[in-house]
Amino acid sequence: MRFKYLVLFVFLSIFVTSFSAAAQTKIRWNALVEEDLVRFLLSNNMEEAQMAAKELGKRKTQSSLDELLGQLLLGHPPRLAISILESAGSRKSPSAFKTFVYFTSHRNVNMRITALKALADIDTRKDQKMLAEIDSMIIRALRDMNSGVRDTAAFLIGKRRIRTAEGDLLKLFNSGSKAAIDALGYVGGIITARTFLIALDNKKISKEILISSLLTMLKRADFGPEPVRIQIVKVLGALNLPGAQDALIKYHGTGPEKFGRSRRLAFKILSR
Amino acid sequence: MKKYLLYVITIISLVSAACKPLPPFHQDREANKSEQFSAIKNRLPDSVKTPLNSTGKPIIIMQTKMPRAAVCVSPETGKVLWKTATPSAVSRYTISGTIVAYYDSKKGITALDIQTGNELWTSKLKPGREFLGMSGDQSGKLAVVSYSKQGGSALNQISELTLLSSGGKVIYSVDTQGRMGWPLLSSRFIAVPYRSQYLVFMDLSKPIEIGRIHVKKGEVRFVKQTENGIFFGDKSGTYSLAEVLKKGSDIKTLTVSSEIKNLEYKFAADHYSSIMKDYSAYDLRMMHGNFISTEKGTDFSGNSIVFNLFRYFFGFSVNNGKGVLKWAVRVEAENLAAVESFGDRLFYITASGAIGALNISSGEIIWKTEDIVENIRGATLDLNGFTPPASSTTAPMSLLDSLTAVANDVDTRFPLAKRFAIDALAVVGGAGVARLLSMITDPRSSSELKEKAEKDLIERPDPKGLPLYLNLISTSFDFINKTRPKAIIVMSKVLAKLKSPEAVPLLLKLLVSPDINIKELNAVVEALIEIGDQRAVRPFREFLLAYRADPEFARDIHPLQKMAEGLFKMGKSAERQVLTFLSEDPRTLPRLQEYILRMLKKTRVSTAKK
Repeated sequence: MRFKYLVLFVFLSIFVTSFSAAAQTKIRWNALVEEDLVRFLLSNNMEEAQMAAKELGKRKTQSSLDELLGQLLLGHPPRLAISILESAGSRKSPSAFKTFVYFTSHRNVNMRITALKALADIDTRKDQKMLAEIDSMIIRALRDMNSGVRDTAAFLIGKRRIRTAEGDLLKLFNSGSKAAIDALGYVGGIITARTFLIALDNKKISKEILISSLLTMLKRADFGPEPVRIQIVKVLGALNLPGAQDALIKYHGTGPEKFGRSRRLAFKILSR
Repeated sequence: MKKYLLYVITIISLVSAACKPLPPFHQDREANKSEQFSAIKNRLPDSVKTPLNSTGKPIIIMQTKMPRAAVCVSPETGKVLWKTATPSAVSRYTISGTIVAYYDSKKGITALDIQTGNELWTSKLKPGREFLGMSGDQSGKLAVVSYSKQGGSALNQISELTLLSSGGKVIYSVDTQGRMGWPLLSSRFIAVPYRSQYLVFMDLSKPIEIGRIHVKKGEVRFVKQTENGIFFGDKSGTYSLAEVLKKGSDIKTLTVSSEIKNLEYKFAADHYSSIMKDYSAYDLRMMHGNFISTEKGTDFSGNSIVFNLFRYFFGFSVNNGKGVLKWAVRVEAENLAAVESFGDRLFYITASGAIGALNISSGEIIWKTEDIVENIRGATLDLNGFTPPASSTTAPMSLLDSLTAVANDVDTRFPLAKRFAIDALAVVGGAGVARLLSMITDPRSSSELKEKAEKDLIERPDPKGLPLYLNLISTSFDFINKTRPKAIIVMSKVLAKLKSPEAVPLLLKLLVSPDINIKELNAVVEALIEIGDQRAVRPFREFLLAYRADPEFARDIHPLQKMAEGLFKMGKSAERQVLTFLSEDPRTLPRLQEYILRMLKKTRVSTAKK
């Protein structure tokens, strides 16, 4: 009995001690001033450096952003550099444009991806020229030799609705890129629609992805004209696949109002 | 009185012995005497313009592979005239008047009837003797050289010259210390290469040495008779017998040289080599040319010679001893078995028994037959005065295309020919930059061709090719269009050698490209440093800072070290500050840090010394 209490006492002591230690060593990052954060950023402890970078990203001051950009250019191991880049990217500041552009051609793939995303996040509402430059950089990234970078670029094109990328996305589609199929749903036009309809006969390409992308196109108000929609609806109706049925249901239910004919056709096909 | 008589007889005998002429081939016999030259000159044979065989018609005696057999073929009709098994033949066939002779390992010298192929006679060598070679002429006689090495040493070689009649009877036999080469039997004498630097002339009916020529330049490794006379020499030069007899052996020899490496200047088989007694691959590695005697000395007819290398022929024009490659031809056959020149034509026999001829000066294939006999390993051609029938000709491809085709030949049996073609491509005018670049970038090019083209381009970069070099590396890395800059390493080295500032923008673009590998990056950095343009300073600085802590470079730090070096050489105080920062910051890769520290330390030491 006494032995049991002894063991319990020992465990409790260890627990309390470590809790106190932890309580003593836990860093309150949000309470640190910028100079201290920079000191942690430059320390040997990689986890602490990354935390410091994250915290600097949360600050709204120009000085903290300048510090992050400056540290990026001074060079750090990739893991830390990516954290710094992400933090700087989270600020969406146009002043970071040139630095982000530099890192879109970094030898490390993840750096390139992070830089692309950071560029895409920049607030360009007041600078149309910068917007156009960022769009063309993202389109250029479709030609990157790394598939991860290409997929990220395709995703961003879809997100930003960069219609001028349709031609390059179709070329990537021909190389078998799934990310390109998704992106084309958001930016593709008649040519894309026809290409997808033909590709539905190709056994090498997954039909589900194509159907999903076709639905994305159908749901866009800027995709048309109606005869093309009707053709897509007919083809989807002829496919004996649950995904196709689903797509018709969703299109009929939530498709753009102005394309009533094709939506009614979808309903008709589903009612058969 | 008797004693006195004895003394007299003894003295007379001794004096007679002392005055006795030296035997033929004796090493103490004098050479290059004018009376000897006159004697030889009086016996100069007429030109050989007709075949040696007694039928007077051109024939070819081919030898088949296992089992060996002699096959007599008429090139005029393309028909086989006879075939005789010669399973133990270990020498070439020699045509002489009414017979075809060869050395049989069991029977000795064996003679076949030239018309029927029936065996006529055999004649064994003396015991212990080994057969070296033999020669025949229209008379049917055979001059045979054999040898033995006492104690197995070449220094104690005894050579024997035997002259046989057309019936196989020994006319005479002479042996001597020293090496003989296989002889040339003409209608007026026998010419025997002897001890490398002598050509000894022997009578045709008695063992009498008519005279001897001693060459001081080069050696006598071959002697041959053509329609234009008798010629002898070695790979370093050829003498015309008529010229030597007129002007002495100090005359200038006919020599050829070329800028192309690996060219073999052998105009005939080595008559001292026992390997050459039989047909071999060495028969297909020779120079062929029609020697002529002119007022200026020995020359080549039409200023043309052909280098045969197996199934490939390379034609040169020769002016003042300099050979310039003019054409190249590859015969469409698995391989050749024999090649020999007669006049201005080069005849060849393929391994499948087809006969062909090409023009020595143009390389045009002027005649070829269908396959006649299968499996040929060698042949003796008796085609003096033979004009092939008219047939459609095949002109060779352009020289550069031919050389490229040879260099890219997928058949791996002929590396020597490929090597030669690659060397030739480097030298031939107009092989030029464009061709070398296409060899480097063409995926069909063999690795040897690529390597050689790269080496030649780097060693001798043509400044006029700059637009082409830049064009190669200006292509971007593009996944969609499937393009990439080509030959980055080679182009960087070439541009570095040319030190062309026009290349800097493209090299800088490559520097910051994420898709070049470390080796390519290294070459680009070295090129930029070599060119020494200030435009590289800022990119170097930015690159060093961006990647100073990148583990990718921990495996191969060389490019960063080179960049630091470049920054040090080309940069100013701002760059020195960056280098100091890199050397002090703990996040810099250790090997880069050490390198920069050493570099900075060296400068401080040398500044302190000043």
